[in-house]
Amino acid sequence: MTFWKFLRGGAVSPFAGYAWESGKWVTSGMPHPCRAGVHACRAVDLPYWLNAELWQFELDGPISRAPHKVVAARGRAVARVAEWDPSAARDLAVACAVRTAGHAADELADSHLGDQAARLADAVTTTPPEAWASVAQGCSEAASAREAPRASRLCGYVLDAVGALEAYPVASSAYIAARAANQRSSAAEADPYVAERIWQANWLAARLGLEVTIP
Amino acid sequence: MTDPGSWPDSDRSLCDRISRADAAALNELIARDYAAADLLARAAAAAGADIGESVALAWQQLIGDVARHSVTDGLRGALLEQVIAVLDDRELLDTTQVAVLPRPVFIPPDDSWAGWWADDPAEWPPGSVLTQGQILGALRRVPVGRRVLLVLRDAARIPAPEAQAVVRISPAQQTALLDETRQDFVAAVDRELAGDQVAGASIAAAVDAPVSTGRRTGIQASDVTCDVIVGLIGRWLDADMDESDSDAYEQHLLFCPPCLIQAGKTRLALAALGNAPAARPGDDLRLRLAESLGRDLI
Repeated sequence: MTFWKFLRGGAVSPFAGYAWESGKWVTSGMPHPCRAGVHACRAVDLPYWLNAELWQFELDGPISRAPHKVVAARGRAVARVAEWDPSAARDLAVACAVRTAGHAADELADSHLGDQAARLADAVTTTPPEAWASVAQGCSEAASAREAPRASRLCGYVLDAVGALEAYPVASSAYIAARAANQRSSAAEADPYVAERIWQANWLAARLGLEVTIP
Repeated sequence: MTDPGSWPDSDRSLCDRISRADAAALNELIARDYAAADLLARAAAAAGADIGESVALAWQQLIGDVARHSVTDGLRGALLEQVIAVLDDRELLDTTQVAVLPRPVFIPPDDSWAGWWADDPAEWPPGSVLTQGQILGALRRVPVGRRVLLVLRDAARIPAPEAQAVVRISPAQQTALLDETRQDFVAAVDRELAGDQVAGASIAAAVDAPVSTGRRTGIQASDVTCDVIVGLIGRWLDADMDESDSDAYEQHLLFCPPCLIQAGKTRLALAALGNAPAARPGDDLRLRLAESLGRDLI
């Protein structure tokens, strides 16, 4: 089974600070999630750990499976996933901003603010992200005036998502979209936050050409 | 006091050897623990106090206790307890009131981002290395009770049960208080790096009761806020979180650059504190300690 691991620039572990050498096996004692062992993730876990570099990993020995990660006693970085680069990260961030706006538009529609929902959806499909903010701001104010605080809040997330495109890492954009999904007043999914993360995992798998099936 | 059966083997062996007038064991203990005693004395004593003599007296007390077989805790903890006792006896403990250090400010309730940073923390210049003067300067900006706890736990690495003998705070309360104190120390380092002068008397923050002593928060990355994350930085650095909390904490750091900055500053500040250079023991210390044992170790 293939595993992956997001690393900082220079193939450095984001928290432990360990600099991985491609192909070199590393043994890390008895695996224990978050404390000891080689940590990696499955394709479905990828959106939770976004960072500068993505590497394919091979693990050896018993593998401990945690909700968002796997841990093994031994592991090695096999190859860097070249398709995950600044351009792909930017595209994911924009895709997440679009998703955030989608959640906001759905909430506006559910709050009987169909005109505002249409305006926001139209802005997202016909204008660049920097133009979405003013539209979202207007929609937020309209929702507030109509005493639709949740719709107003979700429009606020669109402002945050647009701002994050320039100011924050792609992980922030992905989080904002998942948080927006989680704050919809009605959702088809049992866990909208997780559902949004799964959507992101599918986006990554398709964009990066990962041969996996996201559960 | 801890059960003597729980002593580190190295301490038990040192005690036995020192009580048999083993000069090498005494030197080993001095080499191991002098720096911690020196740092604690510098941190806890009033400005201009005679540190060297106080530390020497503390060592004398400890070696006397070892000779009488009356040490029942880890040796480093017992030594540091003596340091504070000697400073107290000699009325040298710092009683200066310190200015209240700024705490992180988070967005108030009724906002969609309530609990997240209101003002992002400033980054330290890349490659910042703290000098001994800056470390001591930062320590002295922290209220003295908290300052002592910080040195005991994060510089001297004294276990909470042994630190309790010095600071009279239960281990559970220490955990929560230490979280706050570590952030105070980071704020104090901010000021040192900015070159601020130590402020005059204001409100002395006492060693007050912690708000929470919970070990597991049950946080989820979907809803955890920065104010919670900042309170957990120390426990994460100590690997003292369960898997679920640690998972949520680390995910948050990845999507929240301000918390990543604060966690990085805390890690650097505590690492600098743990590696703070200290004065070397004076040549006469071993002779004085030999006298305490009533034997000639030369």
